[in-house]
Amino acid sequence: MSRLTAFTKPPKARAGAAAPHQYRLLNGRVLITDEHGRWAVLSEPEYKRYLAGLKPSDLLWPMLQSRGFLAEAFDFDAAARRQFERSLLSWKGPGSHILLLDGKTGTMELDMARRTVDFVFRCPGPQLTLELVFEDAARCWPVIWFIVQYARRKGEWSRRPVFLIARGKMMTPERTDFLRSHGAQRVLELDLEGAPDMKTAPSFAAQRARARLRPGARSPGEWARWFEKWGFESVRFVAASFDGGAVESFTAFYGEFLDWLAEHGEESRLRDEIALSFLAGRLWSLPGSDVLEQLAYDGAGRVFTSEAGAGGGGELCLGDVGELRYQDIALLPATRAVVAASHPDNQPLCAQCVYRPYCAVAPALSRQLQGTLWGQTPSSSACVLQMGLMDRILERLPSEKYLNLLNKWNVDMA
Amino acid sequence: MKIVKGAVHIKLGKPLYGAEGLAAGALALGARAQVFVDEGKTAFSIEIHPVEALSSAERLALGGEFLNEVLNHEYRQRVVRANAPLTQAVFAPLFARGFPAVPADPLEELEPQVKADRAREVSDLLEQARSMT
Repeated sequence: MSRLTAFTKPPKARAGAAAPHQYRLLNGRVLITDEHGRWAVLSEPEYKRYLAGLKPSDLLWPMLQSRGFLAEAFDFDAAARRQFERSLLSWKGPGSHILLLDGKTGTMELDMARRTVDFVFRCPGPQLTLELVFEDAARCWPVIWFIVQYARRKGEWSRRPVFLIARGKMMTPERTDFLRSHGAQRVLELDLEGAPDMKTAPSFAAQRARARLRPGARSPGEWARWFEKWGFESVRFVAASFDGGAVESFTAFYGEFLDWLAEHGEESRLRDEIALSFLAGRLWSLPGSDVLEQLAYDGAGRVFTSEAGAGGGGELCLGDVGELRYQDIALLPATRAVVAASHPDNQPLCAQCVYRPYCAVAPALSRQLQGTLWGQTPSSSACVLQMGLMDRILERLPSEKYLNLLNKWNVDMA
Repeated sequence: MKIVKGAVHIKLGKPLYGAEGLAAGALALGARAQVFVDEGKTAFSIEIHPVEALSSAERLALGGEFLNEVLNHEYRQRVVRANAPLTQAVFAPLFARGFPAVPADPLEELEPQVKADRAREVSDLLEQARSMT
């Protein structure tokens, strides 16, 4: 079983005509992407013409040439530069640090919070993001307050930009004001079930929403209006469950949500973080975020490969902030395993997948869902969801409305 | 694949399948089953004995899971070998240089007073935070 698509009768290709790319048949059209996520949507006759070799007078030539899809006009210097800038060759360190302030291991103590922030600042990279995740803001408040203040000072002392995010369910207006005044983004974590009650306000004033989509969630347009009404700037949907039915209803919901955004693009300021992170936010052409993009820390100061890694049984624990040295992370077997499993060239179906430059199925998530870091792609519901979301986004791309929307969000689609 | 006396019997031909792939398949089943392998000249004979009582459909599903992982492993090894020059070019420098940490703040190293002032500031912050509890 494969979710990759193929022509029943493969088109004839002339050697040296097309540059390396992956393709996918999508709603009667052919989506092509390159290693770095540049894309084009062609009709089948256009794709066949492209493979057979285009003449410079062909109408497709300028577009495909500018996007690097023509072997005969391939800019090797630009490709080398891009490969260096957007691959592990220029990797500096994980930029995103998730601090799980309460949970299975209890609430993080203040001394542990200090050690954790110190550890984060041992990680190189031009910018650090600290995302504070909590269930009970009241119980965690001293730790949240301290981390915000301490990280801000560490940022000033080291002259490094620090991006702070507070993600939770409930917060008082005073606490929200404190976070706002210290430049910390507020993210409301909520469960989406049924349709929204427009009169019910969110539990605190947040800029962003992280919405766990329950299978019973419906009326995506209504939800979009609800987010809009209560002042959210962006929303990220996450799966509450990876069961077959849940994944299908997620992608259907998401498609309708995108339609609403495109329809109301001019007047709405609401943004979709899934499309943004896939198309604009990915620095590394590697799926998932274990170690390379993200590290996570629990209340006991244990360091994990990612937030998903922290959700497992401790197999992806790298050590303790008190003892682990950042420079030793590369030597750990768990690091090597997740990094190797992250690379699509090491995965049978991923190596040919058109969405490989955008993929975000972390090895830790595969471990959680299927018991293997590598994942069994044909039966992976995380892969079904990822490809379903990408289908919903990319099947809409040729439409001017969506292109306008992405332009408005500053996504460079060229 | 067939079920004989409660065990799932599978025969996989050589050289398409190897011992490493079978080990990967057995690992995927974990503690749910015992996997026995007999190596013949041209094929491996595998018996999967579920640890718990399972229906026939569940036994077949277990065998399917084993086969999925074995096939996945074998195919992955081919893909890895085919792409080795590319992946090695990316991974080798990464692991060779390790993950260099940010060096200690030179200002703190050169000016002990700066270090002391900052330590006091942090200690004040911790005090304030403790007073909130």
